[in-house]
Amino acid sequence: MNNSPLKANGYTFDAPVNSVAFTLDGSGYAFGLGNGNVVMFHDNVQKTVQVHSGAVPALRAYDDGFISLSDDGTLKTIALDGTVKDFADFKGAWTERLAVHANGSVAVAVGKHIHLWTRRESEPKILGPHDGSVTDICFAPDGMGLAASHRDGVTLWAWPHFEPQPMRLAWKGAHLAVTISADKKWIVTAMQEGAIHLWNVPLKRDYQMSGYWTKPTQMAWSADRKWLGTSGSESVIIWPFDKMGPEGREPVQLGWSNTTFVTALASHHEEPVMAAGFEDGAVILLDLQNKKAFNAATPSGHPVTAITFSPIGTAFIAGTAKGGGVLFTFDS
Amino acid sequence: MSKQIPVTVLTGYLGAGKTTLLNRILSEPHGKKFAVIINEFGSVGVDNDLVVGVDEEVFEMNNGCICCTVRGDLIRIISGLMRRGLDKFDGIIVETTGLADPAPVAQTFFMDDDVKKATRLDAVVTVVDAKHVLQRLKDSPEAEDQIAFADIIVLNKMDMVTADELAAVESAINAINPYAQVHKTTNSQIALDKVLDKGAFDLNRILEIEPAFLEGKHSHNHDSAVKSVALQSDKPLIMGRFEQWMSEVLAEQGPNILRSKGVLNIRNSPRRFVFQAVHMISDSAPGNAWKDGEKKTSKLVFIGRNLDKAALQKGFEDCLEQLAA
Repeated sequence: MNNSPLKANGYTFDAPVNSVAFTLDGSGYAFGLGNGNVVMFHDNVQKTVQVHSGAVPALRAYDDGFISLSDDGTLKTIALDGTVKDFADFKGAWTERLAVHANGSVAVAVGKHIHLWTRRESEPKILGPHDGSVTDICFAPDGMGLAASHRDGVTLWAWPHFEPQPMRLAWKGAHLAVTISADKKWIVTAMQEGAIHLWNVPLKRDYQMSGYWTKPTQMAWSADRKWLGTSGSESVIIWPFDKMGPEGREPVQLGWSNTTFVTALASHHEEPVMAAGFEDGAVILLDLQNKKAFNAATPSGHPVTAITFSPIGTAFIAGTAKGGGVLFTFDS
Repeated sequence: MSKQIPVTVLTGYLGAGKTTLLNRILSEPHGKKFAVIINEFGSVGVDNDLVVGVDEEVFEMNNGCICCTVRGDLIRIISGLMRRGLDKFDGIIVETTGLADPAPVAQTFFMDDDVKKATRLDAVVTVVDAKHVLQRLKDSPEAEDQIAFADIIVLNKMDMVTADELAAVESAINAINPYAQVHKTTNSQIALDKVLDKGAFDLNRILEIEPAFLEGKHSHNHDSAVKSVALQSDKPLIMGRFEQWMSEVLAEQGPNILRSKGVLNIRNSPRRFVFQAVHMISDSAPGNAWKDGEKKTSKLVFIGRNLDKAALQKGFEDCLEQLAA
């Protein structure tokens, strides 16, 4: 591995980093912490806001600032000036999965249901119950539907005309995360059983890819949508989705670690580049085009819990279970 | 990485004195900080900062192992504690309801990698109501499972039973699980070092916590469905045969075998081989070396339903090195 032209700015917070996000325009970024605080950086000013009483497993860009979901059952918006507003209160329900689409739709998993807000309607729509607790939500890239993972499969919801019966994709086992390909042909889940499961929806076929070291939890599509990177092994396992998809093809493995495995993964929004964090705290940058990996940060000893790229592609941020945060900026 | 936080699973039938014991653990001036997961994981008390509703979610792992059930809600709650930073706790206590099956709770600590890395299952502690347990054993299989699963039994309400009643209760417990340490209490009054940090699932402490291992009084007059089978031999075991036999036993009888453990003398090995399993999920490793002159006795115990002692004995003996006459 070579060293890449990256500049790193480190921060230390007083609680584990649970989640990270950039604003929609990339001018600000924030870390969601295990003590309910959100620490925002904008215009060279650091601002710590007490937002929730529980941890902050999900943080996303929303309007000019952020939206954050806590496992204490509260969903709030945070403006860059530090103003916090209640978005919804799920009254003590265990909530940790949030999806936000670029069109402003917001979906939260609440037990076996999904609460869905669209920009067009003021009241949320409640989808479900599903077959088990909803473990993840992914909006269709066009924003006109979503996939919900749960025990024994995935449920696909489509709108504006909600079908009376959502489509069910069944596969026995515990599905922990779900994602949808750009062309909406492929639905992929990450499983507790150390595997990913893939459905080709138009062909009505499904496949299982197993052999991960541990349960994969992170999946990220490359900017050109030809590759799906996954966590859960000693390297980033990257499946090819061009042509007929990954069936019968070998995945590309980038960023080998002898001792630990990938815990956080994110994709650049314009270039075929990904960033991955490891359980030992190492951070690497992957060049999918040339099949190369670069060291971005040496192991800190603390698992990388969250990583994401700026929407304008000039930087990415990562956080660790020990409260470490880093802004990586590309030298231009 | 960080140290693993010990987890104590507290079970017991309704009204046995579980909550009293929990309150004792929390209120004693030990200077330790515990995260408590209570009420079917519907709420968790961590400095009262987190009280949440979670649907009970027991799921089967799709890995070809039919008794391999784990608690999704427990994984989620422990992940939530990890988000807050587990290093601020000295231990986790999981209190299950009186009707909970202890197996999925215990298996969660072996099946989920995140939970397994951050925590270690220390012991299953079962609080038993000495006055009513015989009745409970007749009408609820859960009460039997909780005793069968226990590493530690807190035999509570001793002030309410006569000597004869106590003898009958001890005999019943002994018939189900002669390997648990039994402590007799009133009002769940017990020193904390008797229930916490016991290392019951620590392969290197399997013998240590069972001074009466295989020497327990056997009682055959109680017709409980759950029984234990103990096997032992001074002849060395052949590793390949033992591994094959044990994997067959667990694959075929895993649903019926609640717990099993063993400390084994393997041919040509200077070290003990230690083994423990919850249903089909097993864990094994080389243990401490045998001391010079120490008698190398292999000991293997199964606790479960419908166990065929003769067949297990035969299978075990087939793994032994047959010395030339």
